[in-house]
Amino acid sequence: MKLQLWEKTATYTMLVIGSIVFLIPFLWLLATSFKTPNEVAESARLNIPGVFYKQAKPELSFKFTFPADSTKITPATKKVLLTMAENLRLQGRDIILVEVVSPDDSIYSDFLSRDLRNRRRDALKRVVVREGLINENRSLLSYDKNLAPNEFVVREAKNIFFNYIASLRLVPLVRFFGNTLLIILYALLGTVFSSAICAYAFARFKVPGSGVLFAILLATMMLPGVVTLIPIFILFEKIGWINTFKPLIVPAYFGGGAFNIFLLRQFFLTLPKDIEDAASIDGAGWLGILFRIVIPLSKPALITVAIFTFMYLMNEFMTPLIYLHDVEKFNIAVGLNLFRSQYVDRVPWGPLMAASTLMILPMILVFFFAQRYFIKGIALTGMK
Amino acid sequence: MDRKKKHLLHFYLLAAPALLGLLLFALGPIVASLAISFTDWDILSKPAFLGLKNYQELLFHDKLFLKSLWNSLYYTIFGVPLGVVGGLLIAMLLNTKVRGIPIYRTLFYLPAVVPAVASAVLWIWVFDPDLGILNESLRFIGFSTTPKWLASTEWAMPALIIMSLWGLGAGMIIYLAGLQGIPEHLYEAAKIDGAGRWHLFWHVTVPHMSPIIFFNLIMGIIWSLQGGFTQAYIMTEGGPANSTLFYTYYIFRKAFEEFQMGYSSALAWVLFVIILVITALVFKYARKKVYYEYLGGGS
Repeated sequence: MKLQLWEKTATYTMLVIGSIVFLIPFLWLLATSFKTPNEVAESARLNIPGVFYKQAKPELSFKFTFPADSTKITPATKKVLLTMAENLRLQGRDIILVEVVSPDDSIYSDFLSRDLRNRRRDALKRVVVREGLINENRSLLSYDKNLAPNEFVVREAKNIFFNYIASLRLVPLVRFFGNTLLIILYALLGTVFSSAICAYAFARFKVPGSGVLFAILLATMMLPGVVTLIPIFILFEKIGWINTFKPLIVPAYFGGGAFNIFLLRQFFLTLPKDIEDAASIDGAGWLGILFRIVIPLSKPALITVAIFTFMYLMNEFMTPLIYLHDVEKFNIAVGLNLFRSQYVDRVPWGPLMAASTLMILPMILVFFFAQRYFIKGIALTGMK
Repeated sequence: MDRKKKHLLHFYLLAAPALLGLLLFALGPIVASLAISFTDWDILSKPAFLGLKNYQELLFHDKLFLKSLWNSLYYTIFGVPLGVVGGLLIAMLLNTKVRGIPIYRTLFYLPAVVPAVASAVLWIWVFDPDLGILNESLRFIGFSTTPKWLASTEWAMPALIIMSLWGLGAGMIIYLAGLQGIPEHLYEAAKIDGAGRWHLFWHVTVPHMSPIIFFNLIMGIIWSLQGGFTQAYIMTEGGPANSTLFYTYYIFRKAFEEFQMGYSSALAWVLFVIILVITALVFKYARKKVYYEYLGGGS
């Protein structure tokens, strides 16, 4: 269809406006991940240049002296520390993360934020001293050798990725990403493998009753997950799998989901049977045909299944929430919520947005990398 | 062994994990869930048989049951049609042949790849009454009073529906694949007959897209009736005043915060029946309007 000029103009206008509307939340997220607490609390604007203006501020540091009699970080020293930080904040400075290494090598760090519920200046006085999150990484701290043994310098974070660094300190984010990777890797393997062999069974071996079985399998796609949730939870509870990764991994090895089986079966049906027959004449066994011929030929479909599964697993929230109880077992979905549950009335928005960006980043990368497979794969499902 | 027996063996060997999974994680749990719904059970002690008491309690005495059911219906009634129509319209927009279309497609689809938790966190911030970009924009356009969104009982649910539309891309991409399957000559022929745009849309596009619209509608209803949990858990905790207490969230609370496995199973089964009834009604009334000729194989 040839488009007329006014139609073209209208189309472009809608495309551009739509893109902006869809994109703004992303830009907003990205911008907030580079904002200091004061900037977050003061303005809703998308001022990404805020990053640069922040950079232009002179570097700030203050010296912290431990009491002579103590080298441990005690509540008293924390109080002194936070008072100093608070004074600097009253002078209009923005401090994201205060960290201090005590002479006994433990590190104390805390997040300082203006209380967003009470946005007046004096809200600053309500900084709460919290037990420090101990972390071995001390890159934020400038360690000056010229100081006395009990003196330390606390510096304002000047790195433009301050929120990203702070997010790693405030919750064990690296651990959460590691857990997520581990779960996804095993679950992905299970899903792709078991849905492929099952799809092949339904595509190639017509046996009595296979049609009915396939229909039942497809019908489970429409089964509401909440109905099966409780019995499955009880099952895993009884065999002691709560607070392990197993409930998130093992079910993937049992079929890998009706949708994936359906998608792969459709694909297998399009493969010419001649190739398999030829291989059979050449002496290949039925498993040899599946693993050496069918599976290598089905790469686009298998990758599509892998991408769908990856997105599904990253999206899942209730399942990990139910099964993972210890903070060290959390995956990123549950861990992200820790920013809010742990810092109830002073949510560290900057670091939280930084962590969210880190969570979205692999999704976008995978999407771009796999886009051509993805769209091909959807066209293959036969839903046209 | 003859060919038939061999096939039988191969089939069951390959399909065994999936069939076992069907029993362990779908059919078995449905039956178990029904059985549990007749009991009072906190997992730790022995279940006590209650008969239909759980159902009596929730149908006649539990105000939160009705409230949460209404919330999920509200979310579905507004969210699903908006999603289905919006997805189709955007797919049509993205199916035009103008320059740069792959970039626009990517931009429109991108929100759909964002994990639910991350988008929930992001949208809390978008909806912030004072500092959020949404109200900032509304004020910029000239609104003097802006909704309190997640903090208000009337606006919290519309806010979550607006947010769900951000992820429209997931359905859109299926429509797009469908639109590309409509033979161009049909449009040409209709145009020669003097059909206008509106006519083309209603008499060529919609009939050909009807199986996909129908699929998205059914799956949308099923997902939406049990949806909203992640958003509500992270953004509102079901509040304010239970205005975003979705049905699934209510089940979650009963099961995993109060450990009333029997009662929550009864809740789940009621939802299951409601979903079955609604799906059956949609099948009955919408299926007639679905045009299958070009689906291939008459499926």
